[in-house]
Amino acid sequence: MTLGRRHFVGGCSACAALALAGCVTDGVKPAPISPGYKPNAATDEGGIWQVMDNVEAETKRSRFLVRDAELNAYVRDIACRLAGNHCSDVRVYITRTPAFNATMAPNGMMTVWTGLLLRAQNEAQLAAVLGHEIGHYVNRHSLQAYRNARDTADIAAFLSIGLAGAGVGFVGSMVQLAALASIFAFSRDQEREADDVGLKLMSDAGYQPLQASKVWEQLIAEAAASERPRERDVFFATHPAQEERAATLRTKAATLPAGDTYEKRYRAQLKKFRTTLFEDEVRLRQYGQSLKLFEMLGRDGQPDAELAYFTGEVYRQRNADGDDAKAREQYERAIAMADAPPEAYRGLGLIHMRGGDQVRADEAFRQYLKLKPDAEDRAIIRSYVQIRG
Amino acid sequence: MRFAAIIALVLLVAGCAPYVLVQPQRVTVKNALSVEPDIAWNKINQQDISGRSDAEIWTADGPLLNSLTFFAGVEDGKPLYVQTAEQEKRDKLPAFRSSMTPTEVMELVESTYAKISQSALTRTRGLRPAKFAGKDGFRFDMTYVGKDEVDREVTAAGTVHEGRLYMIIYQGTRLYHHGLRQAQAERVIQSARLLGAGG
Repeated sequence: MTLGRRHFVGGCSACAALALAGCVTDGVKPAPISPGYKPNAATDEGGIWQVMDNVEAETKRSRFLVRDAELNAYVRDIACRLAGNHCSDVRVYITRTPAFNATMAPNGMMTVWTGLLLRAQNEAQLAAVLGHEIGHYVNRHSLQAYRNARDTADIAAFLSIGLAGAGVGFVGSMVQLAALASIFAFSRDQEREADDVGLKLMSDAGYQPLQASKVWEQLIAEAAASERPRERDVFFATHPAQEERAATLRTKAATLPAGDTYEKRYRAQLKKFRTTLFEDEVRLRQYGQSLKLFEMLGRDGQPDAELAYFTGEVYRQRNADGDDAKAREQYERAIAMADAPPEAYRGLGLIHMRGGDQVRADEAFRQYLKLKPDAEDRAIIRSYVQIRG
Repeated sequence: MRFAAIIALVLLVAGCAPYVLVQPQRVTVKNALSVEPDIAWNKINQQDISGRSDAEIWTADGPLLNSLTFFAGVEDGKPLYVQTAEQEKRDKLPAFRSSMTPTEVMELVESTYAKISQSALTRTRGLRPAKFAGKDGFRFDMTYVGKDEVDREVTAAGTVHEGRLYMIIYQGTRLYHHGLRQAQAERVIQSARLLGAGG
């Protein structure tokens, strides 16, 4: 998903990715990969695999790898269902990186970023992204991109980015992950082909193909809500292409069986990680983007105390005109639900304190301490409570 | 980064040391606070290296191993680290507000470190009230893993006084160097006084 790489990843290497992508033209197309394929080590393809094998060895050791067995099994099973005969060639690594992306290296190493897990609204959406990546893999798009770059002056850029990507400890770094992703900056035709393959794979696996276009539409909406001028500029420069892509996927989906979103199953699997995913997103302070994302996550109208709480957190931290009232509303919405996080009371207390309503602030802080008597910040919260008794 | 390295190299060749020795005696930091270390620390001549002149950084064993960062009177609306226009465009750091509670200052530090180190593995804990430079202040701890995949332990202490943030952050590798100078860092934190505030 090139859009994801270019627009939801911070750092300067994204510029390099763009520069590189701009020059990619489609040369001779390698044949699709066959299951169990291993290239001859003496070939250019063998060389690329060797670099990626080294990167994979580092990934396995990374502190940023999400090692939960259940979650890994869940995502791996989805990838496997999509990959079919290629299942045993695909290895999935979930990395703690709060941005939208998944990558697939030519040697079969797939990375799934936690930011994607937060953004996918159901299993079908996750499958759409993974299917797209498998589409690149099966058609050996990175080899093609490499050969195209080799035939042009881009080889220097290609190599320098490649070396950076293969460096020590890259996994948690969004910049370096982007560099790695940009080694395999795909052409528009390749993206189209990966879209087609992904759509077919997800549909064959019983997923609702319409969800593929929804992923794009959500990304477009999120980028449009970003405060970062760079993100907006770069995004809108290629905006029609992205919208066109979503439209194409939507049209093609209409010709395929309806399928299932598997939303319930997805939510159940992600439940125990959701707090961490939200925390990682909120910490980035990309207020506009986060608020748009949270709004989209709440569109199903289901009661969601955690979503309301974290929406309140973003408003409270942004602290722009009118945000305090919105934060308060979100905290109160969370508190009205049975499974409200105790922290919603803390947030409410801070908002009341900011607004000079010490009586209500005290009340909220007391409630927080009552619900979470062993809270790590209990001493400071007690110091905020000014009315004794 | 590469630019900074080149500048550092040029300065070294030109004889401008990127470090200045801080003697174990009462010293003034950024004209806003004073501290009294009990060992010699090395002040990193940041202006020379990166042009950033806002926070002052000292190290005992090397900046990647352990360091003391002084935030000496951050004003309302300013981030903890001054950014260049290009950095700001790429990823703007959140700003300090005079009205911030210790809870919000801790969130600010966590977000700032997460952004600078580009690491989701940044976690604060143990926020508690504590005197700083004789004023009501706060302390908290933090761990983070940077892109070098090294675990670092952080100790933060500070206060918001007359709308400005005064804070000292001590950090070091969790495995060894945080513990190695913890007592000396503590000494610096405990000795802090605000200039012109009767502290």
